[in-house]
Amino acid sequence: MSALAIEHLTAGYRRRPVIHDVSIDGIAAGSLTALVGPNAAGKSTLLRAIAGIVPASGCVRFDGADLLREPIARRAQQLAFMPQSLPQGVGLSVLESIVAGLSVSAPEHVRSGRDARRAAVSVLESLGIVDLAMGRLDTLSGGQRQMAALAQALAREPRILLLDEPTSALDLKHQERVMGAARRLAETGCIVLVVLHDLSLAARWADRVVLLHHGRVVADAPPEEALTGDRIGVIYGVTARVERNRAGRLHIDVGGLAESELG
Amino acid sequence: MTITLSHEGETVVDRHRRIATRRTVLVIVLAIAALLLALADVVTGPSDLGVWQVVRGIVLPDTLSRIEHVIVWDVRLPAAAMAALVGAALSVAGVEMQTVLDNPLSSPFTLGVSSAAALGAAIAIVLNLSAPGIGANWIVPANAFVFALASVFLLQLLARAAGNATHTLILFGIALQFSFNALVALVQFYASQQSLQQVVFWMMGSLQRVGWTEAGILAAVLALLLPFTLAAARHMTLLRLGEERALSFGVDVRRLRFFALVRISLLTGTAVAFVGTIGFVGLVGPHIARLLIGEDHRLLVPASALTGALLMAVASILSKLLVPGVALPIGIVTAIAGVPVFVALILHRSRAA
Repeated sequence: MSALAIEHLTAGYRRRPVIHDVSIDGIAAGSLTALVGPNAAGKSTLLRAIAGIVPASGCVRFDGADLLREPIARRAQQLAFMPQSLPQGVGLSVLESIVAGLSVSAPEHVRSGRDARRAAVSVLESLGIVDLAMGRLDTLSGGQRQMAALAQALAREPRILLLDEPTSALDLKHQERVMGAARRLAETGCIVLVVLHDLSLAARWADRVVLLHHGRVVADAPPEEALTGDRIGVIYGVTARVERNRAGRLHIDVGGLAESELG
Repeated sequence: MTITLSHEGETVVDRHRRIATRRTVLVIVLAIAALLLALADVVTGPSDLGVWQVVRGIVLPDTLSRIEHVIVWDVRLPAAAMAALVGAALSVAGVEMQTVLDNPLSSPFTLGVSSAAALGAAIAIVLNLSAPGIGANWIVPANAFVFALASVFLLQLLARAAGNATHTLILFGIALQFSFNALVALVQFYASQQSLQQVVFWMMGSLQRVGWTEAGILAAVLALLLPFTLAAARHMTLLRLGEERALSFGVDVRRLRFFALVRISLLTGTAVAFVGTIGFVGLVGPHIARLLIGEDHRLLVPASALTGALLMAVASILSKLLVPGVALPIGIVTAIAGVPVFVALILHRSRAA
């Protein structure tokens, strides 16, 4: 199984780097990694840089190749990226959008239009959203859109899945669904990288947490090591305590703003 | 590999297939309607030729007298063909523009192509330009075409310098449009009475000055570019999901946008060069097609070509019927008839939202 390694990645907009010399090694196939950090820490930029959407220097090694230097079409065969937003007024149905994606880059067993249609519906079934298939994307609720976007990405059976805040607009049930789907995909051997705001979600679902601050990696470890009360306190400017509850899950208890922030 | 689906899944697959079939049938219906309206366009005109006389004259030219032959074959047919071709060209350019700019209110003229063409034509008319190897009647369309193309390349250069975002492209387009309009006004200010009249008439948009050669050139440009537009259709559909998502699907968005703009400028430049500014077709045609067909560009592009042709045929018929004995410049008709259609579309959109 090939691992993903990010080496000395510097990226940003208009010559103003947002992330500086970020290296994350050995992201194993079958793992789910959460990228967390305060606002403007560079989480989304890092994800976009890996996806090849933001110009970046450094390299993203996977399967013996540098994904940043691969042609766009070749990269798309390995990697799917799910951005936060969808443009307004898209008149395509959920099913059409998935089939359109498959018409450009599809897994090998999807050869014809008929295959693509069935593959798309089967992904919707696996996510439990067949009822949305005929719905126009611009008539869906925020949560439904997020699920539809996830279906677009999953249908291509990527080896690397990048999700940019997939749970931000979702209620608890949909959060569970999205993270559950991401987890199941990881279990099939995919590398899943998720930008999350919610540290509890990260603690619960991720195998590994990468904490970013001011565009640099400040912690990269399993959740219980990366998310310590002191570290969260310093980086987010709050007082925080991390405990393990009876079910063995990490519980992050935020007491309020840190004194330094109250001024 | 066979994919097993639940009963509900099978129903969805079935519905999706039926919708696809219905849309294909709709495109065929549109094609027939466009053809019939183009024929109606040929039949309409000031000289009292009967419907059957004209139809028979198209199939069997020998049944017409010499004068009738000139009316049908040298005046009405090329004008009707040009109307349909201009409609198709502008509507295809319009649908591509709306998708690459991710803006439903764009048209082929959004980025100033028509203003640039008008400036080219105005300069050629007022300065009485001539060039070796180009006939006197060709110098105006040729110059209009050159200006239209040059404006798109200027726009690309500016946009590239500013980082290629769509909204900067639109802003630069608006800036160019205003500059070209100002320059056209300047040229008009210095023009003689006679050439001023010619410039104004050129800008109104008219089918009166075209023959088979012009229609043939536009048909050739359309036939040459349409396969490329259709080849890009899948990528265009994905672009509707947003630039970042399209990129992640393996679409080279920059390349796609660049070549789409090249096609748009060639189509628009050629159409505008021969018939002047004909507004609203490139805006409304794609919208009607989208309402009927949806946004899968593999069907949306041909459907837009057909709705454009259909609209122009109707406009051409109206231009001959509105004022008895006078053929109004078709650009005026499309503008006047286009406004209510446009308002209706906006109302429809806001109700749907």
